[in-house]
Amino acid sequence: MAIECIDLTKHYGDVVAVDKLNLRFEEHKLSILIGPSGCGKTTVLKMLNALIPHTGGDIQYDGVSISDIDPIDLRRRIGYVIQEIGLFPHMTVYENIATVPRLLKWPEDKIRKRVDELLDLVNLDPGAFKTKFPSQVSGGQRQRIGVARGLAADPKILLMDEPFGAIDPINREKLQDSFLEIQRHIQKTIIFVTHDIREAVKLGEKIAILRMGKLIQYDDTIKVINQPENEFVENLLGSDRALKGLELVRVHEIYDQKFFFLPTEEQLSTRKALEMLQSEQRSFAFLRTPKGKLYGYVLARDLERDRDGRTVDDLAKSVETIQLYGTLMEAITLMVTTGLTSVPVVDDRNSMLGVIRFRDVFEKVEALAGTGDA
Amino acid sequence: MIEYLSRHWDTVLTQLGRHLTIIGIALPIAAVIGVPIGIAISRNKRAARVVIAIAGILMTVPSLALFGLMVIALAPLRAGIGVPPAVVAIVIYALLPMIRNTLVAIRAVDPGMINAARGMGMTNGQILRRVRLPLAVPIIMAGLRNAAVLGVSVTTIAYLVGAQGLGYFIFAGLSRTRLDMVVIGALSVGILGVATNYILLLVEDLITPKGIKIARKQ
Amino acid sequence: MFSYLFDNLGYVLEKLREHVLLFVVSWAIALVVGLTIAIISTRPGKERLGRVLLSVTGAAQAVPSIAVIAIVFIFMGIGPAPAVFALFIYSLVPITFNAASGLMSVEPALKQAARGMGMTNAQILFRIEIPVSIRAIASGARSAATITIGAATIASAIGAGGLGEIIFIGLRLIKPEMILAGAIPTAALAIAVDGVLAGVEKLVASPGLATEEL
Repeated sequence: MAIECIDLTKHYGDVVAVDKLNLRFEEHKLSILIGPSGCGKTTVLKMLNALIPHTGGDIQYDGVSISDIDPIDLRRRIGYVIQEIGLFPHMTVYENIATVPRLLKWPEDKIRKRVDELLDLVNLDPGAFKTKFPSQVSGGQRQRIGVARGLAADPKILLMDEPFGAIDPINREKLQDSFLEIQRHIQKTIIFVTHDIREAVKLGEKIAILRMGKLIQYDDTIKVINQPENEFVENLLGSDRALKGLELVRVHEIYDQKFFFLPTEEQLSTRKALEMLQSEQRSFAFLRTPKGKLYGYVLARDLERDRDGRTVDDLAKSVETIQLYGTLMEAITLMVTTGLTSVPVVDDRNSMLGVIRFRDVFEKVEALAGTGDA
Repeated sequence: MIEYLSRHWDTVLTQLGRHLTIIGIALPIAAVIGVPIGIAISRNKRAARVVIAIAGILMTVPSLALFGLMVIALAPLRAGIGVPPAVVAIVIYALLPMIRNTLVAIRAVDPGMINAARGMGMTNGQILRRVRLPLAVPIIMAGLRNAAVLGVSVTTIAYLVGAQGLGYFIFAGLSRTRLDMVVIGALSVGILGVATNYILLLVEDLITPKGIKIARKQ
Repeated sequence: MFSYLFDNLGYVLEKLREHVLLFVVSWAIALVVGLTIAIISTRPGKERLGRVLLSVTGAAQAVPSIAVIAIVFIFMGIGPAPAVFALFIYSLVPITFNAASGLMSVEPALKQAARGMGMTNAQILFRIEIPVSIRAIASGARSAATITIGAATIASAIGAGGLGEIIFIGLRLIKPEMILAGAIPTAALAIAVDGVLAGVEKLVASPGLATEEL
């Protein structure tokens, strides 16, 4: 369902909260509404489901003006998740999630199936959670149930108002990760209000930046990061803007499938290994088993110091790895912590697929900042 | 009615005085009995539930019925009429608010606070003065306020068992069909009740620490 | 000691019936009216009305029942009808106060979420606000019941009938058996009704709502 704001305006007396906003939300994508306090993001969200009446302009759903749609009906067809979540304490988790389906008079067995489906989707065991009450579950679980409740009637659109705002940072990360997974499955049109730029970059496929009721920029996340409209947007993104871009690029885009390694099948002596390293002018090397699995790494320095005639296997150290879906940010972090300029890329059975090198990451960052191409 | 008032205002004041005296005797007794009981049962959840239940049941008994029972029960002690049954009735009714509020007041100070206070180097006396009492006293005061308002009502009825008080105007007025007396009685008792509640509420407010008031607002 | 009771069982039962009638009629009407007033004064936009209502009923709870009964008597004379009216007014106060308090303390986030999900105002009231504040409402109803039974006892003074009549006469004639015949059934009635309503209070509240530990 297409949502379009046309010259959307909201006045509170003399105060203009939203000023002639023109915005067409891209379908099946998660669009972030972000901006400083008072920029109007929550007001826009609440006008989308007619909780707040607009004073000027229009909102159109598939071309139909919101003034021509029954607000109650509209709200039942749009999912709505707020920061405090607002789980009804006197209802079980099941009854909470079943709220809108029941309002829509779904048959009870359809509801039952749906509730189980949704609890699975948000990673909560239906058997364990259906009959519990909100007071019996943790904060993070409550947020998940809130999301499930918003999705219950399978709305085409989901409105979310800082849904993870009231959670501690650790759980928030986990919730955001889960939510990314969920969005990958459901591909709904989601409009997500946040004030946290990191959350915006992490979750958003598109970002709409508001300031004092006006739209400053609405574009794909990567484009907003690399081609900020003005200084205001730059500041919003923060001075580590370029690094934020690293969170969006995945290892599989720039890793090298060809890499130098030392085999472990022969009992390679340290002297021989050192020769091999020195001929390639390398200061370290990864070790790979005949079956292709990563074994660890050795430093040339350690090979040099060996006087006891040991083998390479003895001196191997274990190493952190990254997988294809890891972000460049994670790759850089690993490089910094291990002190190696490349990180081995493995699959989930630890088979070495390649390496990712600092040099390549650096070039990528330059490329992103320069032309804005991903 | 104004005429009656101007001619008998001294009677009104006397009866008011008697009314207040009865309450004034009963409240301290209620506190002296209720607070220690509250403290005694504060450790034992089961005992607390039983005692509260009993006090609750006592409070449910209508005052007239209670007076009837007391007149009979106290007669052998020659305390069946006049002020004694009135005081006893008020004390009985006041048990629930006093005990319950004492329990709440004790629970308001949790071990964590005491630990913190001790860790900061407060002596027991200081802990009592600076932590326990400021938190507990307003809550107990609320219980007393509750009891006082009940006392106004109970004392009015106590006229029927020989206690003096503002009940005189109502009941004597009813039996003599003197509407002006009844009005005086009803108004004075009504005003007294509301005024007692209000004044004690102000007192309670004064002795409640500011931080608690702010916390309550949130 | 109970000879009076047995000799006059018919009379006592008749008074008991009157007492129950006085209590039930006035209390039931007060429940309906009180809840309605509480609901009206807690609708959005009526905040001032709500605050005023709370102050008034809060203060009025301190007025003794005899005062209410006496005032009503002055305007309406004696008999069961004025008594029912007086008792109605008297029990209206705690019912309204507790119901309004309870409704006002429903977290705004719940109402907001409900509205955003597409509930109509009526649905929000009946499916969210009332169930969440049901404990306050029930508690108000229960304490109103107890004090109304007590007030009904006193209302006998204005010719309403009821068990109070037996106690009054017994006190006047100084007949202990008569006093007991009046006092014991009254006390038993009050305790029984309170017990039943306490049970109802427990039943009616959802297990998910926070419980008050004492």
